[in-house]
Amino acid sequence: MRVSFDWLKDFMEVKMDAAKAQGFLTMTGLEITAVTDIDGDHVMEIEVTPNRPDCLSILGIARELSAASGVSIKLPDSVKKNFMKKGSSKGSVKIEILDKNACPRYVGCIMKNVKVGPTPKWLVQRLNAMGVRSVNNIVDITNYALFELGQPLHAFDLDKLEQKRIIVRRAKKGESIVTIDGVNRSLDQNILVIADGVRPVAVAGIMGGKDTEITESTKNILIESACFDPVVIRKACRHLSLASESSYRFERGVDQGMIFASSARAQELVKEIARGRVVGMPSDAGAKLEKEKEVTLDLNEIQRILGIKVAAEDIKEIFKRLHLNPVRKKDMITVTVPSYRTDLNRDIDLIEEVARLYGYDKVPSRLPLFTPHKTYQLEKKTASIENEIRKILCRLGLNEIMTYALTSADAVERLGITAENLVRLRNPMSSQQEIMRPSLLSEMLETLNWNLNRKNALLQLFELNKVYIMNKATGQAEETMRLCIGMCGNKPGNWKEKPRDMDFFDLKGVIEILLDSVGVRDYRIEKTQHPSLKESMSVNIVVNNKPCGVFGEVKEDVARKFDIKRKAYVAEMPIDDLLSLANLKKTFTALPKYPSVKRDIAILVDDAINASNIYSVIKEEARGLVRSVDVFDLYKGQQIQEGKKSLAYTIEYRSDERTLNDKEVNELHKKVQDALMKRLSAQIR
Amino acid sequence: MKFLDKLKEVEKLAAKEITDSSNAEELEKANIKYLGRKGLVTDAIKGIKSVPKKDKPAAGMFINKLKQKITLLIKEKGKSFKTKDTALFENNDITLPGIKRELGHIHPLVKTTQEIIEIFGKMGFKAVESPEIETEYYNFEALNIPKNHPSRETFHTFYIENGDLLRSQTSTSQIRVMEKEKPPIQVIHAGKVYRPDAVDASHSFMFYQIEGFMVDKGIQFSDLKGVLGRFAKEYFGENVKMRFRPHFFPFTEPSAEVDIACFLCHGKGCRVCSHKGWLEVLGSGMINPRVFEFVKIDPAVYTGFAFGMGVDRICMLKYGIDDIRLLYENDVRFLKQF
Repeated sequence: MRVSFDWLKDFMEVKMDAAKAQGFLTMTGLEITAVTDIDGDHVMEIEVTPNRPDCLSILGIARELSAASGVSIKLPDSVKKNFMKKGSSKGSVKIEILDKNACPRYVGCIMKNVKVGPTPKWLVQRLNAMGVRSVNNIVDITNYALFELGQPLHAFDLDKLEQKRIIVRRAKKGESIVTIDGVNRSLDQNILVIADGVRPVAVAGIMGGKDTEITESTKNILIESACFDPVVIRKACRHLSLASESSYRFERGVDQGMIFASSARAQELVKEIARGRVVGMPSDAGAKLEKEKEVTLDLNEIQRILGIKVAAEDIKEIFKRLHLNPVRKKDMITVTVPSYRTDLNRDIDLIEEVARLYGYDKVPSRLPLFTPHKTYQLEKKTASIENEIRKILCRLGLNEIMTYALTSADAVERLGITAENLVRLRNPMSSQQEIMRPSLLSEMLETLNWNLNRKNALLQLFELNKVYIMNKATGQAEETMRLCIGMCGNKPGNWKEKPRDMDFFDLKGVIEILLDSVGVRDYRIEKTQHPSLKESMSVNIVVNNKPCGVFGEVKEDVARKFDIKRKAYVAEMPIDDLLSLANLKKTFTALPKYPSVKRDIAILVDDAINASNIYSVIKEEARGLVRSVDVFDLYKGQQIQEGKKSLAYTIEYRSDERTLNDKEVNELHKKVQDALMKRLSAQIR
Repeated sequence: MKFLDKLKEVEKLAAKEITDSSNAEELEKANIKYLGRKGLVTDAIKGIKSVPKKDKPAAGMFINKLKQKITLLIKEKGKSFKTKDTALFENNDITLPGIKRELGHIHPLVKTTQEIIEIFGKMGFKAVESPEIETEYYNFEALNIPKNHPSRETFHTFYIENGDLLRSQTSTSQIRVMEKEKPPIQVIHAGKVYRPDAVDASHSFMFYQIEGFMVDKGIQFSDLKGVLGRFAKEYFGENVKMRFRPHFFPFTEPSAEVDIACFLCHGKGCRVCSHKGWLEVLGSGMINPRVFEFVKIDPAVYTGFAFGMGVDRICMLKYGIDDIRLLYENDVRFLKQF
């Protein structure tokens, strides 16, 4: 909210400079977010928290500044005399409130023979500081009182009100009103209106109607000072996409103690500026004024909550400055809360007041005693494995990404995943964020595409994040962590090495290292089918006969749907599965005592024979003396007959008991060769 | 001597072929042809069997010389068309760039989260989990946000089809934990929150928050100041200037926003701090007794403090990132900077 520093001076003798006042306000909870100089006046932009609607006025801010600085506050007589007062139930205007929940109170005052005209310069300047342009003296006075006291007012041209009546009611379906901004708005029963004997003349609490607005020819006026239910006003604002300085305040709640006083303040200004006179008693319809409530505080609570000892007299002084009329009985202080402090209801609210005015900065800092190593039922159990995975993948050169959890149903469709069990938003902002993603793959592919479009050549990415699935049986959405890896593009060369495209085995290598590092060793990989992955290149990681992750090459048409024109490789694994299988404990294995011997072997086998078949034959034949088997060459094509492939291996032999001699190794190696020939019909080259 | 003649013939052929070779490949072919395992020189050497015993030493010498000659010829010829790499290497050009492996990088949001959690971890706060998809009870009611509060509207909160919602703050974790645990409690929780805000340089419909809270007998506002002061010093540096400013949150009372002096202008006011001199970094306060009542912890016995901060905001402040969208675009040129 905007606040003019000059205007504040109407309420108190401010001797401090603007900067000092700003400091006081900020440190008591009214943060100054900006200050502008308008015609020599410091106009402050103040952030008022939703619990303090009483601060949405010059008076409200003055009260806070007074409490913070100790400078006393002075109110205009019209306000002082009429605060917490009521008008006559049989006043000069006939007022009917048909929805008392939506409009607890309505004060109407008739003033005759006003002279509508230009507004005095001082008043125009003040409105200008608040960012409001001048309309005419009557309208400007209602705005002035609104800013000064926080009570929205509205002036009607009395002679244009049919039957000179005011009815506060819900709009009827089919009714409409042209508001003073010239827009014709259709109404329904969600909207509270002020009507005369015939039609709506104002949208309650938000904006008046064009038909009954104050014009140069207006002679007699009706000044409305009322309060409306915050929720009713807020919903109407949403409904009509309309808001105003009035609705801003009604939505947050206005001070019932000020309704009559604000009217009086406006009357006073109209008399002074537009020479009108009040006719009869102002009418006051609606609820009785609520009695001011009392709250009691045990002084010991201040120390218990805040950790400071404040003398009882100082606490009393703080409450006095806040006009809370404190009465102390031993350790108990009872205060009477003015109507505008709707936020003060419990002792904790008073403790907050003490803290605010005592000064947060004066509360000492201390470090509490901590409870070490307590375990909690909700402890994040996946943290250790997540961090391990991050470490390993980063070491392997992969970059971590973080993407949005909301995506489009279309993106899921493009993956080829069936769109059942999606967690759908009821109120998405756009179709781009209409569901919670069931897989990390779509965002991974989007990210690959984003980077390819920006000519980022080497893409090795991973994401650890949640996916969301609607459990149809329970009707509840479930969230689980997954790991997604995406690899695409080209490993750039350098002056020694040639560049090359990434492929399936780059991804497989990453997964093998990852699984090994988290202690998952007994797994096999199996071909599988996945809607997003190429059939011949899509693989399940299987542990204990249970698939716990999938990886492979993205189908060409799927990639194309994400605008990726090259081969992309992805993996997705549930973290819970990994966690249950992982063993992050590292144990030391003694280094070999005896040397190993390496022998190469080159074989020609049928294409249909897999590397894993060859591997198991080698392992089986060598009675536990084979320590490693590495493929160092694979060749198909010219010089090799069709349907065959040539493979070259280095086999490492080693015993834990002794040094193997040449003869033994030769025999072993010969056995391996024979077995390969016999069992796989391999030709030794 | 037949054997030597044959060798001389081989030498002549080799010399011609080496001289005539016009590139490194041809030269390598010649190398293999003559000096290879099945090469002509090797082949010729086998003929030594037929040399009379007395001539064998001389023949042996000749063979060695021949090998040396051919090797030298190849080496000399090779110099004329060395591949770029070996040529430069042999010139000992140490100014060539090193051969680099790619480093992987942790996402800055994760890095920020880890650093913050580590600091609180040292003070005894343990990380817990809490769901993102929540009910109105956990996101609003138990946090003392009344029915009909504007933040419950679809303008401010995402709802899913079954009536549940995407939490708009990590404070939900307070309720989740306190329902299950009795004090003393000292936990921290990091996770996503969602709000229907249009995306721009400083807004996002999804972002990350960290929530921490501590409940025990005798916890006071001064403890909150102490813990957050320790955090600010560890994270922003020992010389950080901070202030606690009264504010309002429904689930804490008294509530405080915590500012640190702008590290760019040191409190004078600049573009980064919107000329305020201060940067707001977190919200905090003493847990509202009403919240304790919801989780059946007696507020007359126990007190506690809670705080929450936006990870995105802190990350952006720390690294000087001026657009929140960069965090979610994942351009590798961006990711590699952290």
